[in-house]
Amino acid sequence: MQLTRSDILAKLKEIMQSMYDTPSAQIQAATEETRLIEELGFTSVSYLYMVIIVEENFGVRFDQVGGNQFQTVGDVITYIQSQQS
Amino acid sequence: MIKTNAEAFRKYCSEETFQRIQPFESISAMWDHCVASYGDLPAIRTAAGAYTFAEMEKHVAHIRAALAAAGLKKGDRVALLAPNGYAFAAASMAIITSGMCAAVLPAHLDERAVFGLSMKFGVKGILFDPALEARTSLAAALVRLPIELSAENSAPAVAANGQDECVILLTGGTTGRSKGALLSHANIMQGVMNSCYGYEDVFHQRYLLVLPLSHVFGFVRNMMASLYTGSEMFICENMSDLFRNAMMFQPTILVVVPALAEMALRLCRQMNRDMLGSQVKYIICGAAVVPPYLVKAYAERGITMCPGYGLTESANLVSGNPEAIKKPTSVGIPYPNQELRIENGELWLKGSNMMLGYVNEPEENEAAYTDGWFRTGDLVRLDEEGFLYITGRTKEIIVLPTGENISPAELETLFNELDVVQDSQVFEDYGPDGGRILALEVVPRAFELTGIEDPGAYITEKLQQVNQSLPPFKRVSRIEIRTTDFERTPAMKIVRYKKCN
Repeated sequence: MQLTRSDILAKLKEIMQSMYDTPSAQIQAATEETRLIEELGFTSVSYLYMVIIVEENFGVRFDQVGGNQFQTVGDVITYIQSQQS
Repeated sequence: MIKTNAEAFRKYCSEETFQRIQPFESISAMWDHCVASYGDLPAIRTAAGAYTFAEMEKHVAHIRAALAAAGLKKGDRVALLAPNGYAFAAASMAIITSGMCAAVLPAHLDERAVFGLSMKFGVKGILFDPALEARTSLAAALVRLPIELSAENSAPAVAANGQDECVILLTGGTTGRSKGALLSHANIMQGVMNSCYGYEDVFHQRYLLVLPLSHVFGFVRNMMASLYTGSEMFICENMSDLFRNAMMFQPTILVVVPALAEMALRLCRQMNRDMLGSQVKYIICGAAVVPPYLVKAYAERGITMCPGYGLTESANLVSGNPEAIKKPTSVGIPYPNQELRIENGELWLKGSNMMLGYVNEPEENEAAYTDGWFRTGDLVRLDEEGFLYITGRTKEIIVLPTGENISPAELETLFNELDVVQDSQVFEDYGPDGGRILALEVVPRAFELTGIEDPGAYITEKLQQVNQSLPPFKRVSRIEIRTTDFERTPAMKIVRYKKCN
């Protein structure tokens, strides 16, 4: 059964929060429009972390991990849905 | 002034290993030795396959022939534009063993930057990965050669001596905008040797490369050190395969930045399994401050973390710490053939690893040196056993109204040693009466506070114990425990407050 965008968003926020010990206000408030680098401070390392856990959790595969691949949280959701269908 | 030798490192390995760490006249001579000594051993491996030292030399010799046929000759500078991969390794060795200087350009640069840097560095040609050909489009006036991996033609290596130009690597780092650091064969050779001191086993290891080869840490500490020691290096070409590669390749040494080491550890805990393979003996960590809790966490997993300190300008390593468990905040013992001078707390350097200078940057070169000493901009101290500590950057100093200087980084290191502290910032602010005070904000580590009844009071007490141990002028007047992380730069450094003019 394919997950809804809002289900994936909730799970993504959990994954991104697991990068930090302390609750992040920015991650808690994130929406599909939230920009990964400019608003969530994503670096190549945090990006890689997210990719690995997303692969594990959603059973998808990222072909090439590049910092510019996804601009917003919504872009990541779109990719996950495209891989799952 | 201190002049170093290798004696301090003798005790960390066998005498046989210690004696084996010897310099060559040039990187060309080093490569000749590697091919002769390790010919049938695997040198580089990727997802596509593996190449022995002998096979790699055939590809290197073919590229040498292509460079010569294109009219390039000894002493020329040749730009190298290729992503992490076997082609980068073969091409860089081909340029260097042709007696030319490899001007390494990061693979993410666009065509304008490729052209601009090529002009700035005075290159005569560009050797590029065919997939990046479009990025060379503005440099049509230069000799442009795609990297071809073939054993068809060959040209012999060209001898070089220690003072010949070997490689140009970009630095910007803590000192501002990007500049090209010109490193000689002797500089790189010292950087390679420095990579070998402080380990029980250093020859015939398995390195997993994750750092960019266009950065000195990847180029010298990973690639060049791997070749010199007859080791096998797996090049991770797709970062999302990093941990799959690790499980398959089972590396014994990882060279990473602290953020990556922290991320790997977090993933091990999150996934509840070993993500790095079961054979890792050492994690070489540098390019940023290594938090003490990381050293301890990896030690608990049977992995020795070795923090180090260095610069692009010093051909990578100046010092390395083989005793990080005992001294987790130290960047270690200075390597041989280094001269160190501490002026007003700032580290000045000379030595056989120190660059020839920045390329085409007369003002930067003028500003960087005093009496032939390179001024690092790093504040340091040495302890009684000769271990080096970074206490701050000259540009971050807070000058108190009393005239005393405070290095925030030095104080933050002390607070960060507490297990309950994730990160901290010491900064100047205005107190209730409008006067300037020193303040402290701390991000706590939730993991360490489970089960504590009043975490806020607990952390504050711990912080005050540290605070009270400081000389009065260094004590903070206000402590605040944050509920969210600090604002961070894209490189994950804390964005420092500037609350006072």
